[in-house]
Amino acid sequence: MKNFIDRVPVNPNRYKITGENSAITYVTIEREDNASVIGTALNREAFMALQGMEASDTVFNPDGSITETYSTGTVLTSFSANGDVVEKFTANSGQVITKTTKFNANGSISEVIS
Amino acid sequence: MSLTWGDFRWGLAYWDDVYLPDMVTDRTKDDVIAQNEKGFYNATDLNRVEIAAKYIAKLLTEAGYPVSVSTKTNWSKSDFPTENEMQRFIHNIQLLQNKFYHSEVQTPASMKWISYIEANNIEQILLYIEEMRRKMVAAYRYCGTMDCGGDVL
Repeated sequence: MKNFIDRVPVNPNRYKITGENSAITYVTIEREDNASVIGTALNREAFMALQGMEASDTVFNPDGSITETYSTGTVLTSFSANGDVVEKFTANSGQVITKTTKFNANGSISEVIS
Repeated sequence: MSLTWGDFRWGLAYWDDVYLPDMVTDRTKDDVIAQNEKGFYNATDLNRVEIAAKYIAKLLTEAGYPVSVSTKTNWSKSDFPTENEMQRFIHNIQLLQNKFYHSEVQTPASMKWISYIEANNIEQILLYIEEMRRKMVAAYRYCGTMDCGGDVL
């Protein structure tokens, strides 16, 4: 387990520029790309969640499937008759990503993202 | 052009009663002598600090610094602040700092005989924590803006 902590700057996004003549300038640099999607922050919350440190509620459903609810969405794990394990994450925004785990006849395992 | 949220109060229900009130950090000796509103520590002061503590705890928890504070946000003139309640009140301030960032401003050891400076300190600490949280968020990097081994900018 890695304990990720955020940088807490007194002067966010401030950079020091040293010219070739050794002249020093301090500037604040911010993105001005008019992002239509801001993106996911790469912060403590995200990296700790990647290690499993994320609040969730897990329900074992009557049909044998499992529902895990996170603040960002829901993972539904279902077990197909052919032996496949299907994990479907539906984000609160509606985005869906699915991982299907197949246990092959030759003993290998295939994981398919769709 | 989008509007900036002002300090109006009608929208508080939208924020689930969790918001950062206008903190008071400018009490002076003259206020105490004049016995004006800032010269007393009232239920409104307790409520303001408790609401701010609840707000900051919520935002820190969302940022990956889980902190659970016990708050009472409906103090009234008829309430009697017990020693236990006031210890909890101060403990919240310490807890928020312990979980995130220690202010250089000194936390009062007790609410008993609290001075105007200590009353200012309590609210200044909360403002300081919130300021540092905002600066931390301002420095976040986002997916799609960085490459492994890439440049800083």
